[in-house]
Amino acid sequence: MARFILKRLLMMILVMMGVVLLVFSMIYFSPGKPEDYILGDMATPADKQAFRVENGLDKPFIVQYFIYLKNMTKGNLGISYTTRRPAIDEILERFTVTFKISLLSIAFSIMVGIGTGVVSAVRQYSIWDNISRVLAIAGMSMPNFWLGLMLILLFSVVLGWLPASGIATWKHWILPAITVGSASTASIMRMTRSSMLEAIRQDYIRTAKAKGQKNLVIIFVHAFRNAVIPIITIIGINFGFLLGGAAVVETVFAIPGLGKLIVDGIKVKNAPVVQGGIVFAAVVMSFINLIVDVLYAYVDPRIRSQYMRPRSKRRISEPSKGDAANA
Amino acid sequence: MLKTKSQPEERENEVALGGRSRNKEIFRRFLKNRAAVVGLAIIIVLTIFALFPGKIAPYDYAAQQLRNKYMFPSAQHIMGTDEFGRDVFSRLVWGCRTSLVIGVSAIAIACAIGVAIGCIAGFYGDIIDNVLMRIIDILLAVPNTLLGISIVAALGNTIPNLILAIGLGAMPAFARITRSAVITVKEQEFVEAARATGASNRRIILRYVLPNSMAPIIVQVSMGIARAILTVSGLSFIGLGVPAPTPEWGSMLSSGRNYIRDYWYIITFPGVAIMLAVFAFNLFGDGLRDALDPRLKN
Repeated sequence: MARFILKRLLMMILVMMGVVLLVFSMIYFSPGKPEDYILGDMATPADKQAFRVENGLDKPFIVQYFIYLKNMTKGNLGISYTTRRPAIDEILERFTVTFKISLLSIAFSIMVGIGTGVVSAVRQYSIWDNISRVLAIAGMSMPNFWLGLMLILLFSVVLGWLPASGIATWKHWILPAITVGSASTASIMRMTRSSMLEAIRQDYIRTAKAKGQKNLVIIFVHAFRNAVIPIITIIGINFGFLLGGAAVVETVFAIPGLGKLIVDGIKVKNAPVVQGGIVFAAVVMSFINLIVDVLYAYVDPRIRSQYMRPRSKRRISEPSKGDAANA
Repeated sequence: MLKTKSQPEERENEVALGGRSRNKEIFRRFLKNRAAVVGLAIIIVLTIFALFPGKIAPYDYAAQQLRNKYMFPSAQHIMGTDEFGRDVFSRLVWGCRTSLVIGVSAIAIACAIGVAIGCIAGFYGDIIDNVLMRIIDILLAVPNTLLGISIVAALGNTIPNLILAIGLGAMPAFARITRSAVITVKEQEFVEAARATGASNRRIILRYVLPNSMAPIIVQVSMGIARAILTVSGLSFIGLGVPAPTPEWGSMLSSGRNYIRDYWYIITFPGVAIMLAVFAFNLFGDGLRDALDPRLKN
């Protein structure tokens, strides 16, 4: 298991170098220069040159790329052109907000998605099943920023129950969390339904019924435990999407999150913040994927044994040099 | 020798004949799925809107009638008018063309590149597979919306750049799906038989492997168009999408949001249009998946 995690971490470093190269090239080769946006029309050529030297923009592309990589290993993502603060501080500040929305959204999605998915599967083709299936596909089809606007219209404008923008109190988080989580709720529901339907048709469920087990025990202890792997996968994938998808919703609710920081940064070519923000989001997404893979092993003993098996086999067949040969 | 040479040819004919009857069977299964047929019907209507907007829209999408701004839906303007007195329905009809052109073109690019990468990676394996899949991992590591935002911001927000940005974001899914389908198909006996006759790798991929890996790719095309329509409307909503005055559903929502308190209809109809279009492609994709592989249907 440790070897698997280590291998994935090493791979992640390579992928991140690629992500930095991709984002770096896009910003470097895009038309327009940051000094024109930041310093404005009144700046003299000398001012602009000084800005370029100060921010290392006068160096060749490849040198800038490696300097950026080197600084990145020390947690230095550059200095924001607009605020002159370290980009990493701004990113972390904003990321905390985005992460909080994502966590609340995924919690909402898991509760509603798994709940309705299980009911749908257990009562297949019932009225509840049909309603939740239609709602699920509608939830997946709805642009979340539009849903946000509609929720504002209903709960803030018409009913006046919840605030429309900002993050001052706990009430401010409710609408953004539901908005961001709508699509993932739908996909978690669909996945729960289909994997539960597969699980409840298995022989061991019939055996459990024959033993006279209670329905709730059969559903949650026997069926759900065996249906949970694809559900974890879809939760992991959705959590990654939420981090990116929140970018648009943050605009609707005027939330100072990572997405809004990147969008605002792009408009003034604030490269350190944009590059850093995207790379940071990519690192978090990769870690989430790794955590999901490790979770499989903890939830499903069959997968855990896959990680263990090659080692024990090698020990039996090649006790002395097996590990070295396979490393 | 002659015998072994004729075997794949026979197989080829068999596959071709089997393919025809299989297509009929798939079509029959698809028609039995009412939701999928509804999806297809909506797609047909949207396509007609996109092909002949000038014939369907009652007004010019850019015609401003400042005296008639913020008009409530009526017989004259069935979906009302916006802040410039432009007819919302006419802008929706023209916006359909923009959304479909971007969605379909982006997925065409994503499909062409993704399927090529997936085929090569899955078929050749080893180092080629490793290198190509790591490149795909790089694209997958960046959240899709952020990738779209950064590409559009770097290249400028024109329709061709939007197509490229959304296409690149959607491409990794095609590469991965094709790769896994190809890995399964390339182990089949008919591929081995084709190889035994000395068929070139290119012929094996194009004639035997790819046609038998198409089912998940076709489904992904439909789902991909749905997601592309959502992404382009999201980018337009934050001001990085289709530039004004071209009508686009996301930018209609973006400009209408300032009047949400008093004129709900300005943002309601474009949202419903996006939802209907995405809903239709999702239903169609679901129906196709069930028809192509009934084992997946629960």
